[in-house]
Amino acid sequence: MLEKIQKKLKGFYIIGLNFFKTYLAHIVFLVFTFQLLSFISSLPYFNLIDKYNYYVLAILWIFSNFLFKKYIINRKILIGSMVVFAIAIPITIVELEFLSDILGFVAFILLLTYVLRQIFTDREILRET
Amino acid sequence: MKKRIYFDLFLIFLLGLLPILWFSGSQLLLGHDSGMTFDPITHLLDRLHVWSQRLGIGTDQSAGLLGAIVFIHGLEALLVWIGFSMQMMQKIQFVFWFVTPGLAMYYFTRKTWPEKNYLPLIASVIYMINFFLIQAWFVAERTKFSIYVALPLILYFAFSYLGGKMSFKKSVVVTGLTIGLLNAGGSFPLYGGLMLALFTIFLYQNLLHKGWEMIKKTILFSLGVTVIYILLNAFWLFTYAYYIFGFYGRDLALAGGPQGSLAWSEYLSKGSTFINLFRGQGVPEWYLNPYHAFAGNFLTNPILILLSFAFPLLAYFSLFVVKAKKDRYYIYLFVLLSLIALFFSAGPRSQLGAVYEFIALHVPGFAIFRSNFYKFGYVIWFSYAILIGFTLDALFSKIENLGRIKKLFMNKISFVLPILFILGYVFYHYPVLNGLFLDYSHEPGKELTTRVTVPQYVFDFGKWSNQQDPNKRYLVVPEISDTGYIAYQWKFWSIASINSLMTKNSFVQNTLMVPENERLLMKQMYSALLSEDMKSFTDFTEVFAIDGIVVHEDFDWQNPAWATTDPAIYEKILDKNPKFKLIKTFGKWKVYDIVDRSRSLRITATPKLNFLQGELKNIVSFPEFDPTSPLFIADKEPQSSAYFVNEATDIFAAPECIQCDFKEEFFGFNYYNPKILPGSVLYPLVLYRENLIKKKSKDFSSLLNYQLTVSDRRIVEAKWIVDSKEKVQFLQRAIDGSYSSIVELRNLVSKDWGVTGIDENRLARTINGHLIQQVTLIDSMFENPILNIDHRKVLALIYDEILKIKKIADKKQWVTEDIIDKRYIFDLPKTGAYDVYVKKKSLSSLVGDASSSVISFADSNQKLKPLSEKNDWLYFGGINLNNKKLRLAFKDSTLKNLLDGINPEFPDGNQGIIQDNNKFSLNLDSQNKCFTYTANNLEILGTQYLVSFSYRNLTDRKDLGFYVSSIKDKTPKLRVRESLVPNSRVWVTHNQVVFPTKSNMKLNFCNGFVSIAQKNSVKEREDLKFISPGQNLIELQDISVHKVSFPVIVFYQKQKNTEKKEYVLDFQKTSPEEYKINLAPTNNPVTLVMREDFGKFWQLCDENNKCLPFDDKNHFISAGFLNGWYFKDGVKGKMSLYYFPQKMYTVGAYISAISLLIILGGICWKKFKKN
Repeated sequence: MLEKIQKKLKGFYIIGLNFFKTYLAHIVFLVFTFQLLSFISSLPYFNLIDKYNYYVLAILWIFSNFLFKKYIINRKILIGSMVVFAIAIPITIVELEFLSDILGFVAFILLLTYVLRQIFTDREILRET
Repeated sequence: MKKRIYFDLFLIFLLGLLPILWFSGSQLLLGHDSGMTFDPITHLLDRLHVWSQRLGIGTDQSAGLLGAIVFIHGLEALLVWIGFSMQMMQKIQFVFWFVTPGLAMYYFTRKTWPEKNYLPLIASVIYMINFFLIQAWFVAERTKFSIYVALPLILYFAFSYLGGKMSFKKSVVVTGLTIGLLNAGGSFPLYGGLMLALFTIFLYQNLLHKGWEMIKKTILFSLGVTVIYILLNAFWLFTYAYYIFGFYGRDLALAGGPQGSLAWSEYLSKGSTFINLFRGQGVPEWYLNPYHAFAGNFLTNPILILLSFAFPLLAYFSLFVVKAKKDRYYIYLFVLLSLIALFFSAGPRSQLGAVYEFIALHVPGFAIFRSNFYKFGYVIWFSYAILIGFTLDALFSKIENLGRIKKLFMNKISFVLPILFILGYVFYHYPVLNGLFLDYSHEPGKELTTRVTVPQYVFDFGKWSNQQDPNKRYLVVPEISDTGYIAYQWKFWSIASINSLMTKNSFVQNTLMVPENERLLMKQMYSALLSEDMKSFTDFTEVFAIDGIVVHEDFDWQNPAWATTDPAIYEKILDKNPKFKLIKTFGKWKVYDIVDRSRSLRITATPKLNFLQGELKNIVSFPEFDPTSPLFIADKEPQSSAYFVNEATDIFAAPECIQCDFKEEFFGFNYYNPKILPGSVLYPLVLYRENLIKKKSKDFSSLLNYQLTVSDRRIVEAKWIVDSKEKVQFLQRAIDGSYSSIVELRNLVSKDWGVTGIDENRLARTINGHLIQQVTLIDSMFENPILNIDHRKVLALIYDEILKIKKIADKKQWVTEDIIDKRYIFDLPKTGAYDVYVKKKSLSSLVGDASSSVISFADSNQKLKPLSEKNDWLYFGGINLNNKKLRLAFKDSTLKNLLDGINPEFPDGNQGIIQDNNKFSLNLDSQNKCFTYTANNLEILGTQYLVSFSYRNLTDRKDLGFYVSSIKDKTPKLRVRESLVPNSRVWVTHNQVVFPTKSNMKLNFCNGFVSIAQKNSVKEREDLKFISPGQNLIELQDISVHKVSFPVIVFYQKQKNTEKKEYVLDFQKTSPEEYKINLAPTNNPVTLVMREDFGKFWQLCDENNKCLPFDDKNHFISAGFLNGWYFKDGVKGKMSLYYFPQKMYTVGAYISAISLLIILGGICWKKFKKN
């Protein structure tokens, strides 16, 4: 039993390590972008943008889509959006408006990503229609 | 398949009958923003004319949805003309508008997916019934329904053309025809959703088929449809273009421009979050109206919340089930469309609000989509209907197949499933079953509904009024409150007056539909009637050409939300005055005529031409003012002022008293974040921009504005550096900059200002307002340890400069500061001899002795006293003036303290309250005690009173409470806490303006408030520790109540002598936009007034059809809102007046009719040839 757990933990560790090894440059890029965007928020005029953090997240999400194509696959995105809706149900019922608003935004971004990527992927098929 | 289609259509028609369930008895849908009329035929006929007088003094109705006359008002009128009752007409109409969206969607889906069994029906039902549409149904928004119906049809034709299934000619003709007829009534903002959908499709197609061919197709299709749209809508588009030229500026200003539009959008988007919109909700009314008929259930009921998530889950589940190529093409597109529409419907409050804001502020014309949810929301439902239909079709097909394979279900399953869905879906939207959404507010005491039962007398009145002379004009009483809400006891509620919905004739009422300046005049007319100032009232009625008065006894005048004057008061005044005669009674509506009105004053022409510097209300009832003669008002057209002052026969100058209402205006600036501080790399840009503005500032006012703004900015920058502790090394630069800008300001104000007296006063007050704020900022940072000795030195120099500037500004400032000394500034149009008059009724007291009143002049020792009395006016003698700029003060001797002779009362006993004549001392023994004064015989109806007293505190806290209460209602003790006046150890005067609602009021003065829980803590109060019980805590003196009056002072000069003559022999109103006038010929100067709202395009022509150009300076705004024409060389015989855009309307109507005939003829011919 313990061995099994040990093996699994090792497996996770190796996967994690490999991921970081392979994508270190990508991760650094994302972290740098995040830092840069956070810094920009204090500059004149940028400091006036309402809900700035959402734009930062949206931009990072767009970059992530390009950088982690292998991991962020379209089907996962679509399932993710459905899961977000499902999570939003109890949250809306208990009237946690702030959280349900954020989930709505997340679902919006996920669906938009999915459909844009899908159009791009299927454009040859769609053109035939 | 045919069986399926019949089945689907049967269900759609069956659902379409739902509106029949909404009405009981003889109820009708009327009021709010519905635009449903009481007399559809009259309304339609009136809309065949560009100019209409049903909204009061007359208005151009080009912007009033003239495009709605065919499908909306035409349909209503046709049904009534056939003989249906009003209720039956509404039921038929509503069934029509309920079914057509379903049919349009059915057409789209059936044509696109002929193989799908369930999709067309499900999509149609969702498109017919949803909360977006239900919200529109509460006012039966037919304009929205028409574009809603058009959307699926247009998109189908667009797809067919772009996909190569339909020829260019055919697609353009059918699309143009659809949008031409289902034109949203001519409401451009409603096209928002349609344009968004078309734009998305074009973009989608062009992204997929990159190439010139698709771009060409897109452009050709758009152009072709636009041409046909213009041809079919020419009847209202042409006049609309004229309207834009004539009135657009006024309307844009009223809407507040893009900023105003964005603010409105932000207000509306309160609940339009992504999650709510995904769930098919987000309707603004749900979140803004806490008394919404049903929204509460959907916002709080867990089951309904759970069910609401079925919308996004089912809609986007289609992405899992979509397989076929064709299906993918459509599903991806509709998902994309739904998300784009979601973004635009969410507006500025969503997480992506900044992007929306940018679009709203920078895309020209986007401001028209200010109610963004209502303008884009229908695209979400279009997409949802198809996406949900697609998912459910897949699901139902699976069930059907399963049933077939396993033989589990009965054969009719394919019919049962959609029926079950429809039942569930309709029950979820339960308000649609009984019309609950029509009762749009359940607020206790303020229940509002659009389901009303109209009393028969209202219809009778409408019929009668339409048979009257179209030149007759009536005033409707009571007046409408400032809210603009019009409400009747029988539940009608709207901002549109009833008369405008049932007659074609002119009824004057201060509704929000009339321009603000006219509304103000109307209110003054109402108050003249109420105060029985008959001379003023008669003058007003002559200016407005009013011939009678209609009293609406059934007006809901008592509701606090829109309270107004009791109609019975008006009735009493009219009944007892022989000037008015009751001529007709319709239930609770009474019609009075003004008895001495022998002829209509709609058009008059006299040798007299009045010139007024000031406001009309100030010269009504003036002995030398003839209200039937034209009146040029200098402030309305300053560019023509010099011309008309020389031509005028009589000159009046009657400005307003400066700040007589004691409302202190704000002349300062709001502290702000300067964003870029000295030392920033971007700072030179700030200086560069300032220089650009300086170069553009040519006159004194703009230079001063520039200099003040710059000096404000410099000091704000310094303050910001000090507070934020950022760029402290540049603080000296900021302070030095502030100093040099203040020196420049001092140099500027030391020169001659070269502005009018009124402007000089305003600018002086602005300077003082800004400087006081600058000093406040200097005070707040002076002690800060960041500042070094050099910083302080320069700040001290700035302070000295400010003192110098203030001294200059103080000299130029002329403002009423105490109740006795009223201040005026006259900018006389001409120097010379003037007679000076004061209106007696405008003084503080009607019965008081006015003989000791004095007019004194600021720049001379001259004083004027009343010499005689003429009618209602006091004559102060003549004066010869060599200077156009005049500052004077007026002392009203009728002014008296209403508390004179009244003794104070001590409801809690007088222990600890010591009175010494008009001085009161309150010591520790009187804590929690109050004393009161009762002021009696107060005037109500908007009269203001100034309560004034001096006081000082001898403690460190606010202890003196002061509030005004009514005699009957006892104010709870705890509320004294809310009334504490600011603490002051030196004597200060407290002024408070009150508007009594009853003839008496109680003034309460209290020695603080200590709750029973705080009793012990009082003992601990440091400031009271060393005060013995007998020692004073508060001292009060000079308590007074004065009526706030606005004395009217008129300077009058008779420039030319004229005989009293009327040149109009007779005139005829041949149509709403045309008058034929017969004039007595003369070579002397004559001025003609046509008493309909001023319109640039009213064209005056002589009998040879020679017309005056539209921009002729002799066509002026008479009395501030009417049409006046001045003829220096006299007039000859006959003339005609015509509202020119009507010609465009007629031409447009011919173009539209011919185009429609050609298109229909072409289609028929093609069909005929084919057969």
